[in-house]
Amino acid sequence: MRSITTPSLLALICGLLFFNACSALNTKSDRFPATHPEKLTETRPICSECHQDQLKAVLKPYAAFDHTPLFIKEHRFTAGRDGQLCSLCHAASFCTDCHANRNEVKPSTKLGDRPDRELPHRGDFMTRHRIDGKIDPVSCYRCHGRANNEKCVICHRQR
Amino acid sequence: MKRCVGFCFFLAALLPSFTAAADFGVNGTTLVRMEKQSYPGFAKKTLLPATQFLGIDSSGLYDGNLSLHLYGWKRADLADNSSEKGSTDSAFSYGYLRYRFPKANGEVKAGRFFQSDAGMITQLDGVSTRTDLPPAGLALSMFAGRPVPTDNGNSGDYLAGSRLSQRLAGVLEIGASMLREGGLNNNGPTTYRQIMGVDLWHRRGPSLELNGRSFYDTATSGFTEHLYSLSYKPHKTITLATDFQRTPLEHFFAATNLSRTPFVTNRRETFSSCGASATIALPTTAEVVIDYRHFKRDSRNASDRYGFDIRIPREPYLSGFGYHRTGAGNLKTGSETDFSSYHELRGYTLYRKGKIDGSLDVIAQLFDDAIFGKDHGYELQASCGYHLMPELKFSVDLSIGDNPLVENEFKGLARVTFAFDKLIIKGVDK
Ligand code: HEC
Ligand code: HEC
Ligand code: HEC
Ligand code: HEC
Ligand code: HEC
Repeated sequence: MRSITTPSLLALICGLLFFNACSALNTKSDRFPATHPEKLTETRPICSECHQDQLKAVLKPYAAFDHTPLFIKEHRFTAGRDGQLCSLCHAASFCTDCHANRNEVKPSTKLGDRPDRELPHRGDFMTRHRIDGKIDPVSCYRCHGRANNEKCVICHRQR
Repeated sequence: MKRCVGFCFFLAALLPSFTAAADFGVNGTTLVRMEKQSYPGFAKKTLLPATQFLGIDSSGLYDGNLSLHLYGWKRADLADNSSEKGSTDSAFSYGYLRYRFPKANGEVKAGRFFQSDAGMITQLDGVSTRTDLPPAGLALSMFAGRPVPTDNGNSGDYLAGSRLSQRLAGVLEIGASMLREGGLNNNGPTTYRQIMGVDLWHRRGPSLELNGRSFYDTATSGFTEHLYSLSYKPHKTITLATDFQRTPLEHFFAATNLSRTPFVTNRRETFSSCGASATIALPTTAEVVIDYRHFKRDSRNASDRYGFDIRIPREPYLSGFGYHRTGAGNLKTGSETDFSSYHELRGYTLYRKGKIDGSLDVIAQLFDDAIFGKDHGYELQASCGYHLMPELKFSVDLSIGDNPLVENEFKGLARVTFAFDKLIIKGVDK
């Protein structure tokens, strides 16, 4: 496969920007508001309690975004497809509490006042990580291994 | 880097002054932690780090469609150094301008930001754009820039990616994506990773939903992962779900910058896992999740994790209880002394009413085999908070714990959280 170089990609992006401007004149798809019009409380929202039918801008039913335990567990899928929708309610810093290149504290420390949140590494994780890390290192690599390694290298040095 | 952060915040402060009508918001968290640290084999320390997380968001700039978003943190140690980096540390998480086109959900971002197209999270300094395209349901996103250097080196000089997707209203979405991270060193161009991916969403009626993705790395010529999940809702209160994952580790970990451990790539090893769960959601009464997962690594024995979580909302309380068993088969390899199956119990309650917040949280593990001579660990944490204003909260967390690595641990934390929206509304003639 021929590799793609930066200049050609940048050219493509410029082209797309231009196209963006043109398509803005041509197509008539629904646009999101910048922020969710209704202020929600700090609990997991069930969209379908307030909204019926389709969320036109993403052509999916509102129910597909109900923040059920399954949605939270598998938010990778929706985040990868409809990231723009997430920013309606979530500042990027909401995500970087758990996902960051460098994070100062573990999420359950920063949000120690929120036991109801689905935060990784609650309690003593230094002991458990040796067990959980052996069982499923793949789940760790989503957040460590390319990023957030600072604490790891103290013990996991190059051997 | 610090100058860069300073400049961005300066820019943020200036921006509203030359736009017609802008919302300006500041949010953040201030933490002062107090810990005594003692890991076996490391010197004992008293830690008193103060950390400020600060975010600025300004919207309605320029013609009203432009917004600015900044976030970062800075730490100063008031006692022993809390990391190898010395007594202060900081990070600039993101700082970007976002322009939303009036139609077609077009948008452009420029600066430092996180991108999660196709489900791969990357942090880059660059540009990204997405738009809906004329044949209904088609959308394209692209991004390119420099990956933000990781703490441990081994990141590429450039990163670029894109995702093309087709949606069929309410039924289907198929996406094709590409992510390339490459280097331009003396030996000519190198490829860190070039991932080609497909992803899928399918819904049949109100009850059946399929999600999935497969990624292939052309740099190592192998699939990095297959991940598929199916859910079925036989009744509006019940959701049954099952998922399957297969990950050849030599390809998946290929681009790690933690050298050899813990993400070992020199073994031809495949990891796979499959799981099932049942969620019973009785509105305003309780939510119960029962889950089971089976893990298999070629180089080690299989293991299982199963258990349940219950969540009970009772205004002004929200409480939860959970139990999980991690049955690790025999994953031990000769020399290891610190491996064991375990039971985990957790319970919490959160109280929120008016200006007062409070919570109590306990988590405990019971290990089948003692680790460093101890067969259990627990942490009990209490937090109480007071809203000085709806936008400003002060809270204190105290925790005690005991575990195989740390004897009778005591930790304290004081926290200020604030989120002021629409701080400055500069309407010239609105
Ligand atoms: C407490 C009720 C409530 C909940 C829960 C809720 N919304 Fe909304 N939402 C509203 C109201 C009210 C509006 C403004 C009126 C409208 O446009 O329907 C709105 C507007 C929207 C809009 C803009 C609609 C448009 O066409 O301009 C989107 C998109 C949206 N919500 C998505 C969601 C998603 C996704 C969720 C779940 C994660 C959700 N909402 C949860 C009440 C709610
Ligand atoms: C209509 C607003 C709205 C939209 C749209 C929305 N969310 Fe949320 N989300 C919330 C609220 C409110 C919470 C609860 C926050 C809290 O508890 O402090 C939440 C919580 C979460 C959590 C954390 C759950 C936990 O317990 O820690 C995740 C993860 C999440 N959302 C992901 C997403 C993703 C991914 C998207 C985009 C597909 C998205 N959300 C879209 C409102 C929304
Ligand atoms: C409460 C912590 C938390 C928050 C907040 C959170 N995530 Fe996640 N995220 C996770 C966990 C845990 C995983 C899955 C790791 C695993 O595989 O077990 C994950 C996985 C992902 C993945 C897949 C990564 C990969 O390589 O497969 C994406 C994409 C993602 N999250 C995006 C987001 C976005 C966007 C937001 C903000 C709207 C967000 N997350 C907020 C915890 C969080
Ligand atoms: C959703 C992202 C996410 C996932 C998934 C994740 N981590 Fe973390 N982890 C973090 C963050 C954020 C921190 C805090 C950063 C820090 O302390 O440097 C952290 C901290 C840690 C720490 C230090 C804990 C402490 O007490 O200071 C260890 C050890 C760790 N992770 C190991 C793992 C292992 C092993 C896995 C897989 C079983 C894993 N992590 C999965 C985000 C994640
Ligand atoms: C205080 C020392 C220490 C720190 C800090 C630490 N680890 Fe570990 N880690 C260990 C030990 C000891 C083992 C067990 C090694 C063994 O038994 O072979 C281990 C094992 C692991 C494993 C399992 C490897 C395997 O055998 O497959 C993973 C994954 C892992 N650690 C990830 C991390 C990550 C990610 C971080 C940083 C967020 C981290 N660790 C920080 C000491 C540490």
